[in-house]
Amino acid sequence: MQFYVTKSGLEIFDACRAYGLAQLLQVLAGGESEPRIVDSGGTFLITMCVRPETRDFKASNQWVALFATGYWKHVFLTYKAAWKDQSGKVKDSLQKSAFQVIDEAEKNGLPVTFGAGFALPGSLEPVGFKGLKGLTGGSYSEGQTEVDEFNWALGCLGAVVAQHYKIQKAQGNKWEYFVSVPIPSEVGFSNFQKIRELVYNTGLNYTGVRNAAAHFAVLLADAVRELAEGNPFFPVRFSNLLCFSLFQSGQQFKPSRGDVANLGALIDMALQRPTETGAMFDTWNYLFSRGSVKGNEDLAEAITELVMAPSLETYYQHARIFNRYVVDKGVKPENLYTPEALKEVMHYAKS
Amino acid sequence: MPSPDLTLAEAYADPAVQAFGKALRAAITFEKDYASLIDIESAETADAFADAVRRFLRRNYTSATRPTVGELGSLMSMAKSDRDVRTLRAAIISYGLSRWDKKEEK
Repeated sequence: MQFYVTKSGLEIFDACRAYGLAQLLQVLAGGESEPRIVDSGGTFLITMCVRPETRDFKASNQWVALFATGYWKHVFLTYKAAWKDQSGKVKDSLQKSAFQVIDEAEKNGLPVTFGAGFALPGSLEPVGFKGLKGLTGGSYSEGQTEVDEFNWALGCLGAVVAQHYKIQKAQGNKWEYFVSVPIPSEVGFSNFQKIRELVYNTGLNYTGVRNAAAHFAVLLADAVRELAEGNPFFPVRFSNLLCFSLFQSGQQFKPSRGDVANLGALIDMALQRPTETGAMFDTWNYLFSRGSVKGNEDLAEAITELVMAPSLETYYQHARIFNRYVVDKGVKPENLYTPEALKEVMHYAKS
Repeated sequence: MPSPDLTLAEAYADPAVQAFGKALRAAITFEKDYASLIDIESAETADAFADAVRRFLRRNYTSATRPTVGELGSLMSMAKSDRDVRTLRAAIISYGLSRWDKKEEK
């Protein structure tokens, strides 16, 4: 069986719709078949071996657990206390029209209808926020982005499944959110869930959204390496990691900067040379961890730049600053690179 | 035809760079020769790099890990452009980031 999610151009929303549909299909199949998401250019293709059957949602432990998770609070962050109503709306909508959604995905690829009454939550996709999104056409205000009910519900479900939220205290007793989502290139959904269990609850105190995303990218690639157990054709590939931050302005949350990390290069290395890359990730994790301590921000920034934008310059900055710590402050030998790991870092810096 | 740029991995694997990298690492660890580290790090051009290497050798002329004349010649022949210098200095200081046996080196 093949299902399609036609891309709308909103990258995060599109990826969340694909994850959402895969999750819905898995629940409907009762765990008898694993959905696989493949990025095929203009659409995300989701394949299943069996046709999903009518199921009683209340009998599905997975479905019940999905709506019991606190992640909904983050997806509907801008709704404050009303987040429960919104998650209830997603649940009702999908329960009521699950097979209509699936039929539509099979036949027409669920194209998004904009302006159809369902507001895209800003913490799901920054484009959802009020404010100008393009050239002004005489009007200096623009409302929230609205989409159709099916795609809204799938997107919200996918955000709960696939988005990673790191919440930390900012200046002035306020909070900031670092949100990241891995864009699937080819992902077996069960393996994705295992990866999620391994890395989605980990995190440090970060210097900013780039730092958080770089560390999350390393953790994801390391988890793929661990699960692959030396299989270079392990069916979990992500192309990019998209991230953005939300900051508290008064009582409201507003979007701040966003970025992209090339997750594909890290995962390729992790699958092709797992031992050497594993050793490299160990040192990088140490650098992120030490860089999260107050006073060591330079170390965090240097490794972040190397991971996000590999080049001779970023490698040199990282080597120079790491060397300072080795010389001045001391680094245990087990936290230094092995000769093989250092060659991998150089290989990455060239990519 | 212009020669292709020196890559970081090629520079790191070169025996002359290896000799200088290990010598710098030993000089910093055992002799606290931070001045040479700063000199090499701040070299941006081939001339500045040659100067930094010359000062490093003068400071460590009695060291057992001192690179040979042949290695010096080989290193200098690689530093043709500013980009090569940036690659070489990155490769040299990288030896300080990898695990090594201090007792054996001493």
